[in-house]
Amino acid sequence: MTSTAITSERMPIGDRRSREVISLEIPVETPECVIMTYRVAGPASRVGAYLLDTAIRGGILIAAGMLMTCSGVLAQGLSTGFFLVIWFVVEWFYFAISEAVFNGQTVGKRVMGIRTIEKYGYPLSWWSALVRNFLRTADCLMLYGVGFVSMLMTSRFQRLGDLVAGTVVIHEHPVRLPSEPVILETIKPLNREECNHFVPTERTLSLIDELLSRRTNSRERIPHDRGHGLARDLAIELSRKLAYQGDSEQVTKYSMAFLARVYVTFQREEEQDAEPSPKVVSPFGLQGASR
Amino acid sequence: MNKRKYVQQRRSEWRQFRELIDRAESRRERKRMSHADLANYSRLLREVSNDLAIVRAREWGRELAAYLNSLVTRGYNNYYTAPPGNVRKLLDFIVFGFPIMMRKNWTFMVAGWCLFFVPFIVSWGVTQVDSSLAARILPVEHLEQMEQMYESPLYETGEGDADSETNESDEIDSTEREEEIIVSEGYLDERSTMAGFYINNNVGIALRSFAIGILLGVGTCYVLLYNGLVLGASFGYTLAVGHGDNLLSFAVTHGSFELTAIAISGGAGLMLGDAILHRRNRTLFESLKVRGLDAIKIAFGAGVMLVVAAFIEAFWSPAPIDHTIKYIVGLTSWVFVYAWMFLAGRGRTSA
Repeated sequence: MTSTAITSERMPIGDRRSREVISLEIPVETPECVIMTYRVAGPASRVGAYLLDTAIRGGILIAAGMLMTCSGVLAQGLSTGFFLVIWFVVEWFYFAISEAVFNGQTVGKRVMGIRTIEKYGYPLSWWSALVRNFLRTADCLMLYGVGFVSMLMTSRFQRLGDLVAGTVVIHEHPVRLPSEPVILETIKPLNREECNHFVPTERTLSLIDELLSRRTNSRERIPHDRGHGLARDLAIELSRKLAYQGDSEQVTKYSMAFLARVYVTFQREEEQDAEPSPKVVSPFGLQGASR
Repeated sequence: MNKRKYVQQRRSEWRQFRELIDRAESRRERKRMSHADLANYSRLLREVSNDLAIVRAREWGRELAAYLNSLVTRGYNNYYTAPPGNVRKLLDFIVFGFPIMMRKNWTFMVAGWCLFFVPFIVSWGVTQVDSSLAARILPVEHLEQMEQMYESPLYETGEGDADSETNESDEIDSTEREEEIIVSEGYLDERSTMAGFYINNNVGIALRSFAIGILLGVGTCYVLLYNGLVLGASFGYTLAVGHGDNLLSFAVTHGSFELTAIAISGGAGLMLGDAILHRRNRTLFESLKVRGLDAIKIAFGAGVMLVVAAFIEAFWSPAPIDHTIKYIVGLTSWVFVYAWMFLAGRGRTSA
């Protein structure tokens, strides 16, 4: 049901040509027969989470200490006893309990956007949470040197506790649905008389689509000239394959615009029954295209 | 069907699935999900998985695949949730599962026991015969301190009423010891401090000796041998200088739980070390994973035993009760602990 055997055939993502990709992604095959991938969290973010948690644990102890000092006026020994028990719990069970209760996340892990899960993608179980955090004692020898070496020696950044519990710590980065493929109503498709019958692959088209959508995506916006520069190689290659006889300056100078025209041409071709789109966006340097 | 149309068509489902995941992730909202929601969730999980497969196969872009992948991973993680822990199961484990687990791995338990109790008994015997040898194991200040501590019975400190906390040990009739109850006012107070201290200290030691077992068991052996020697020497010396009655009557009851549990947690540590050394046709990681779970369960049980021991040590052991009774109770508890370890849960099939 769950296996990682696929690695030997081919990585489900990444470049198809490289067979053994060194990658932070670990693949897991689900019962739905699809391979999903998790991104392993490295030492840096984990140290960050640990420091935060340590600060919180210190805070809890200080707060408990202050409370016990106040109540110590009434019953000194009882308060001291309670304080020692709280200390014990905070030292040995803070991580285990919070990971078991909050599905693999302590406060620090939550802030850093990482989470502990079982190696095969399942949520962390109680025993696993207990194991990996009891074994912290072994990992933290020599200022977490033991754990660090163990992380470097395993492909999934597992410290000893993780190895025994069979867990991994993963990154959880929020991903948004990529902005809707830009509707290029104003862009004229290529004149079919100016080129041959070559049809670009879907992969090429979706690559163009991704490049174009990055122009509008505010997070990783590419400046104009940079976008044309990035697009140039593909544009020249495509124009060669299409034996394009139109404006050659457009291909080399306003490469993005040319790619947009290619995209529109072949995308529309497939959409005989496409409904009219209401909105028109043209965020590129389209001087060449709208002529 | 091209990418653009596909996304347009599926987009609303993805959004719906995302909302369901958000609800499933918050504890409060999850309880309010209806049957229809759950059915929907399961349908959408399969559909979105399918979408992911399609998008990957047609190479419709990494961003889209990454988005769907994040939906699937989150959905999957919530859908196949770990079984909830429950208190009854935990109790059942401690009472029956734990001794079963120990017997299943009896070789390690015996090894841990010997590593601790053999040096304990030997150093006890040797130092009792020749108390000067104790100074070779323990610093002299420590010995003097021990001598002072057990010079007199531990409890003759003042006057007061100790009924409230000695009641919890119901093994003996409370009327028998009424005339002996002479304790300070701060008795409960002081005892609570000690309970906290014992829990913190002893359980910490045991868990540590377990955890460093992963370094091939060397650390565990050291901890067991060292503690066995030191404890044995302390006992032998105190007996040799003639305060044996005070010490033994104090230690006999909680010792049954405490010393046994230390040996057990050490044995669990040895299991970890052995899982690395002898993998039995498993990879290192699988071996650790499979045998580590047993080991941690045993160490956890030992931790519980130590917490019990800490309460006995704090509230019962120093109580002002006739020594004969203490010995009787103490021996009973030794018999009880070992009978439990050997017999509890026999006839059951699994832990």
